[in-house]
Amino acid sequence: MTKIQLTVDGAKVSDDVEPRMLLVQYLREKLGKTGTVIGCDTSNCGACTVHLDGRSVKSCNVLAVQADGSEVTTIEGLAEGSVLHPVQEAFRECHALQCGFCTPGMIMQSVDLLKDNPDPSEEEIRVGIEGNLCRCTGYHNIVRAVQTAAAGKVSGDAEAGSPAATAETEKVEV
Amino acid sequence: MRTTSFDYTRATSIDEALGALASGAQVLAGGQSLLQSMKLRQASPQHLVDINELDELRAVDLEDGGLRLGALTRIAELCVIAEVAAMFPSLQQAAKLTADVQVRNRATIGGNLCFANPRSNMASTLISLRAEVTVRSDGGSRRLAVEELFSGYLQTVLSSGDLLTDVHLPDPGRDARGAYREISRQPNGVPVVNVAVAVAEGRVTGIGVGGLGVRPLRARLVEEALTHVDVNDPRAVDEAAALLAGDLASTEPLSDMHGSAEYRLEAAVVLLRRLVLATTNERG
Repeated sequence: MTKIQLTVDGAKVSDDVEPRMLLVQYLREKLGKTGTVIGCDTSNCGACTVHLDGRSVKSCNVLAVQADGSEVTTIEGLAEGSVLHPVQEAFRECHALQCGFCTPGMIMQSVDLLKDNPDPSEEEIRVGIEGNLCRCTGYHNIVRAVQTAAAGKVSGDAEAGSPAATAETEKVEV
Repeated sequence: MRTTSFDYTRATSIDEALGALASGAQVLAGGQSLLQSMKLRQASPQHLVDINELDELRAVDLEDGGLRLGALTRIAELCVIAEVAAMFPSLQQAAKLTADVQVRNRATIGGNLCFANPRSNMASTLISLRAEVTVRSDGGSRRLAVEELFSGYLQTVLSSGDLLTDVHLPDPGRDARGAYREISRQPNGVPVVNVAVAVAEGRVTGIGVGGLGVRPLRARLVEEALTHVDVNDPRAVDEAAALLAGDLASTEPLSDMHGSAEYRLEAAVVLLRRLVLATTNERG
């Protein structure tokens, strides 16, 4: 066992872990942060994306011991209390999901993308999230959500935003 | 699947890393290929020495008109380092086509070379740029050309105890240009074949080819032939590119589910011809 100390979603944690424990296993099994999901376990799908010291990584491809001394942000650490992060809000408003399994990784990667490039073109968005697979193939609204977040057009008003966005999406997707 | 159990050492100095390596440990750098193969139980090291804390392996310096890249330089950094963009555009092209953002954020240039995937973007590009690596061990340090690093499929000439510490890119020459192209099943997938060409003053100075043999190759016969022909003459370039079959004779051809040996050779010759014509003829 190896002792590790790190900060996860703003909270200091310390544990003894087996060196072979993956960061994603640590987050889910030790900390109960099941918001970060395991999709493929082969670093292809990006569902397990988290931020390690501010950079997006696939947490199924990093050992927990490698995060010793680091700061990890998961999908569960993005919101400020009950106020969603603008990218989360944009995903909700644009209905950027179908089954929702890829959503945590998509959002974490989109946050990373917008940090480097606050005003990406559609192509830059698609290239920026190429490491994240949506098996429902729902990329259209995901790209739209990133564009919406980038443009700062997130209303943040659940009452006003939700029904209109839903109606529009349904019209398109029937 | 989970990896087998192993001991883990986080090295705090190169000497500590070398000590662990001398006693049989294996290097953990970015881990993007190694952890995958460990999860698939294709590799089951007993002891990993993590070198990520060794800041001296992270340095990027100008060196004799060229560039020295520490082994821990992440592929994501190659995409944005201004000197790489200005002096070695083919390396930046190859970096941007490696895997995806998350993987590039972890994967390192040294780890990529040491994993010795014959289809690696980095390997063929660094070969075309005539790059060298520094390898350290308890006994001292030595330098070798990137093309001499690979001994077979996923195998290098390094022995246990060796640590690749730096990649040296020599002065690219005057009016240097270079380009990297690949054929892959999907964008940013591991390429089936890839070719990188380096050019200075309108002449080809290096050609690297990946995915053709069980190890990445330098196309010496093609390079040599191109020094004697007019690179503006497509037919002459065609004939020179066809000599790639002779260069492949130095190793075993790669043939797998991604492509037969015959397909790979034909595809590589076409890529090579196009790259030579594009890089030697474009101006400005």
